[in-house]
Amino acid sequence: MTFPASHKTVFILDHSPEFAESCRQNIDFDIFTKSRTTGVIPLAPIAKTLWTCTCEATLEYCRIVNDIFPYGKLLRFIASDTEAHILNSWKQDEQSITQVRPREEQNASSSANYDVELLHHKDAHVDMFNHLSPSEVGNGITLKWCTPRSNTVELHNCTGAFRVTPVDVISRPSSCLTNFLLNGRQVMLEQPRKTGSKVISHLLTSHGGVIFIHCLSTSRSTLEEPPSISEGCGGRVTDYRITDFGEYMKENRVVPKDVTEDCDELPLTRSKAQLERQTRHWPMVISNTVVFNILSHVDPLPSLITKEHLDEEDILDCKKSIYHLVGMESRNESLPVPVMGTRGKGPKREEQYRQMWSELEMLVRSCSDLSPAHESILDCVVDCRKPSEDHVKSPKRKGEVKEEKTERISSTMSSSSSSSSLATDKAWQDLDRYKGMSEREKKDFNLGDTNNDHNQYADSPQSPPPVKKQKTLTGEKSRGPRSFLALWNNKLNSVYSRKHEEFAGRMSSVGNMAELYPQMNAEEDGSLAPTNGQG
Amino acid sequence: MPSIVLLDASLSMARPLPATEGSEEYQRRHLAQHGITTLLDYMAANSRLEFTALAAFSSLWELVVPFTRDYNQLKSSLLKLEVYDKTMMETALAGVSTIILDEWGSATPCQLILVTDGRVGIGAGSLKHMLDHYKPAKEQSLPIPFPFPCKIQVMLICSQAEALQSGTLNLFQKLIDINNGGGNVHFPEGGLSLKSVQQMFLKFAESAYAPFYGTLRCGHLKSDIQLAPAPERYYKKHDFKVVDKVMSPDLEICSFLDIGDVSSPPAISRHLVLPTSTKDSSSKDGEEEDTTEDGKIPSFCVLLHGSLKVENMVAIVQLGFLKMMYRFISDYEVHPYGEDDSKTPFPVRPLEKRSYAQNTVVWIKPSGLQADIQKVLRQARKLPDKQQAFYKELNRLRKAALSIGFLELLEGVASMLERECTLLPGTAHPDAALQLTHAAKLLRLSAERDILQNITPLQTNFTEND
Repeated sequence: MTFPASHKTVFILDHSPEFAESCRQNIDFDIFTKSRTTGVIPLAPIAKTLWTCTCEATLEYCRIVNDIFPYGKLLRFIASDTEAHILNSWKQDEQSITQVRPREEQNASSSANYDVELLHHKDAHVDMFNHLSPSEVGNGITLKWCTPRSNTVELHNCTGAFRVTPVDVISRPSSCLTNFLLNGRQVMLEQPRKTGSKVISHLLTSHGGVIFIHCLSTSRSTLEEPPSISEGCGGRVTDYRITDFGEYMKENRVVPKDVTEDCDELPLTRSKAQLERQTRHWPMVISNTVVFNILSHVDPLPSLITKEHLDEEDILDCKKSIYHLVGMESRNESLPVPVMGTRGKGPKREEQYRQMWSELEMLVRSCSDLSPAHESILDCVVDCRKPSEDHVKSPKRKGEVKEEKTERISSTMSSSSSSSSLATDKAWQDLDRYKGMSEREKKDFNLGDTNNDHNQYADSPQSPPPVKKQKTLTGEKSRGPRSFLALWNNKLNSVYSRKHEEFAGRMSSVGNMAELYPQMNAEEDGSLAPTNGQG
Repeated sequence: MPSIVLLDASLSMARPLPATEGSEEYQRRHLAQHGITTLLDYMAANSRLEFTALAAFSSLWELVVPFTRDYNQLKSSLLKLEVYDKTMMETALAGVSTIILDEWGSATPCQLILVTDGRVGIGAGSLKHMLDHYKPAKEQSLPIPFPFPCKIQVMLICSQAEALQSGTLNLFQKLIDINNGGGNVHFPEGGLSLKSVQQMFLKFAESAYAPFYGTLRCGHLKSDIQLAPAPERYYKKHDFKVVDKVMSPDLEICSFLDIGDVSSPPAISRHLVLPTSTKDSSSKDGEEEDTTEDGKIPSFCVLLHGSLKVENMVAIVQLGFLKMMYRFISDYEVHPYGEDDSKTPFPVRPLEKRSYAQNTVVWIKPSGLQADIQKVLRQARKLPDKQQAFYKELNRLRKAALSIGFLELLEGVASMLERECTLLPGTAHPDAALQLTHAAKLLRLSAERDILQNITPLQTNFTEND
């Protein structure tokens, strides 16, 4: 590793008596008497000593270098007379000015045109040096100020950013420009081309009180004409939860951290953990969710449940949300679910509630391992699911399965069967919905912790069979009036289900409908009988 | 990265191969055409979004096909190429430099694929002549090193033995070394034949134009993606460290940021993130159907694209080597983005202010000095009302003068203040004269006092009464 030549710079300042002599450049410092009428004789001009000139020059050097290269450069000043006086330690950061090239910039927006000469790293003009001969570059390059068209914030194709400082920092044009930039405005700069045309090549802007020049790409982009997103994967789906994901993004924005602050956990790890918690159940499209379509009735549960810790108030708020839904259901209020992509009238109210409870349980269950408090919310959801559901549904469910079987034989049969028309409609709806949902189901299953997802579709007709069926069973058993034994069993089952290792065969056949249905049919009698019995 | 195929069209490319019985007679240029076609076919199948140009050279050079994604055009033009006169590498390289600079500027990494029979020419303009005249770190007119990052891949249409014997191998290696952008000399393995040349190009294509597949993840949401163009290994020597990174295929989103807060940072490279099929693409037959089917499956990538666009935000992705510090919105007592999302905690302000952002004193030009004296004088004339401002300006001037040993100025300003005292009108407040005299006196004594010890106002009966 070689250090750059500009890493350390030593200045030796001649501090001998000769330097106490005048530089013989007189300055009229008393010029303010002219405006007065009294006819005062101005004071005699003064002159700096050679030492003063030396000091001024070194300070100006420090100013420029410190502005442009604030880090990684070391500078030392030694005054030499009868002995060497070290004036500073290496800790002052500086850098050689040889890396700096001046540039002029014209301010065309004011009535009187004047230039502001700026200094910055020469790499900011690397592109131009390749296009222009050294003589053309000369002592500077003139770029023209061009007023930005609009204030829209955009991400420019930037190839480099370098600090700048004005050559004459206290001149009026300089401070005009720097104040303009420090107040948060941007200046676009145009570069003349050989052909006579102009192109916007640079951008001046300040970041936290430091002014930078950004080099913008002036050449062709390799990313031009990208393939249309609508023609790619997922491009035909039209009901993405764009706004909801926007909210999720806003909640997960970065915030500056004080580096002196202690942290027991790396912020990056914490950030990822938060992103993970909040996406345990996150349906990507509107038609795949009920809960997130009726947020005004479910809030604040969905946002609270993904928190790492729940305090007493949070638990209470979550439970209030659940009780609110129970209340709605008992008052026979319809859920304000938007009708999307469903044939006919859309799902019936009871079906909506069933889907909603199912999804709500899935959501809460996905977070139930975060803390005992989270688990208590899950218990609450499980307890609150309509106890009478089984009574109403169980016979229906049997009907459904039958209908599906029938449908496979002849699709017209179900519609002609007038005796079970209600069940038939429902079966159709379920089937449609299942078709729509299967991919996400698969996705959720792939994404989520399988342990958490076991009961995702508990007691929904599309619930993929064996293990889930078992769970459903335990879930349903615990409904209705409860004994302590039922509660205890329920608790034990939930503990066991977490330890349960998924059957390898079923893991691999996820989303494969062809394999799911025969199993369902095969188990129809065995698994549904107890439910019937209970009802 | 954009690639330019530079094909040797000198007469020596028309040399026939040693005839093998029963087969057609091939010239070296036929082998070259065949090899390049193999390369183009591979690119058309695997990196359709890349830009490629075709140029030919002998003693002159010509841009046959400008940068394009139209691989058929490249292939058909390739077959129409004729042979010309002698090999002049220097002009050809200069030509490539111009073509790439005009099209892509100096920041886009490019790839030069030089296809030649290894006959490097003689005399001025030949490769050997050019390399012999190369002197590092001198102003010169040689085209290399290129003024943009560029790999040079030399595809030799000659046997290894031939290349070693003539010393061509070393020459080309030196060319690559001087250009300092990476690259290799490739030659057909196991003798020169149609097959070995094809193999050489295929091997190169697989190493240079393999598509980059990965996974974009945000918590449990994920999407299989392709990055186009494929990211390159990043290697850069900085002042105090060498950075050498290869992008991991696991792209993990770790946070988000408003586009305004990102403020157009410089990018090392830019890539399109394209969602790819989650299914195995083993069944090539039903490709058309697959595409339609894939379009209907929700993709996280498309969701993210939509939300970023609507919200004007960016996602911060960990590429395997990200180091960042930030804390959480929930850690703040006041919401850092404001309850109504009207604020931003960015940018973070450094503790130190730059010279243009503070009240810097520069007296190199007389105007700077005069302006600062005028500030003192202006306040002096408004004494005693502007007493605080007067002493502030006076101390600023005093400190600056002392730090550069400008004692003459202190004497001058002291005289000036004393004169102001004599010019005070009869109606002036008596405190004005007292403060001016006091300030002038202390200014003269400055040299013996501590630079940090400011001049403080004179405590008078009048000030006490205030």
